[in-house]
Amino acid sequence: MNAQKKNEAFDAVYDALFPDVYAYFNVCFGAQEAEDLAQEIFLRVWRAIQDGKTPDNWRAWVFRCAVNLKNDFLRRAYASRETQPLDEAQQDLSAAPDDMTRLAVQRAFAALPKDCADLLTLKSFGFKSEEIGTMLGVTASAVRTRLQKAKGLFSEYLEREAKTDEPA
Amino acid sequence: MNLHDTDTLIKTAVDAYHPSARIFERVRARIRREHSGVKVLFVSADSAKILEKVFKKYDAWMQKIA
Repeated sequence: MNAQKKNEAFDAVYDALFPDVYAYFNVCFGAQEAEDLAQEIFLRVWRAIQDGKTPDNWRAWVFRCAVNLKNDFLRRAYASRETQPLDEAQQDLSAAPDDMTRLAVQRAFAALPKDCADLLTLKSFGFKSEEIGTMLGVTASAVRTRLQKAKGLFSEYLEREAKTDEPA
Repeated sequence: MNLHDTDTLIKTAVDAYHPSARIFERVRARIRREHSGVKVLFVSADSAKILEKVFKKYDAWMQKIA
């Protein structure tokens, strides 16, 4: 593969996957870390393409790297205790919600425990429970159970947010 | 509020975490720069004076040779 083909191959993977990878890290750690961590993932993609290593399924490969990097980052953060606790990480909700429903949905999602938000994010990207299980190192049935719980919690928070927004 | 289609609502929530077009292109540019082999040198504010001295010296040598 010549240099131009490699560039094109990189652009194709980047265009298809960068938004979701960034969103995943943004959910986990906030916008600032998301940019650096997503960059790190795509540097790995670049190197893989340069080395002629092209996985059959880029999406699965990239997200396996992303989950591993997230776990490494958490371990480092725990060891150094320099980063803010995950629940206080800033979400970039600067995109102005176009209505109260959207705002309530965003608030409910932001209030979720991070492991629930993480799981729901991967699911919303279209990964099957089996694939998420492989990434997280748990069984598919464990993933389904956790997803069920996370969705229940999200619905509960959403109802609460909706009630808050109702005019008195 | 329709709470029945939780999956759609979750997708809506996750959409708010996607990058802007600016971030999307900025990170791509950073990755390309890192691998382009082009190094950006930061020079001091008085670099013009330094270069002028160097070229004067070089000019003097060339005149001597001529």
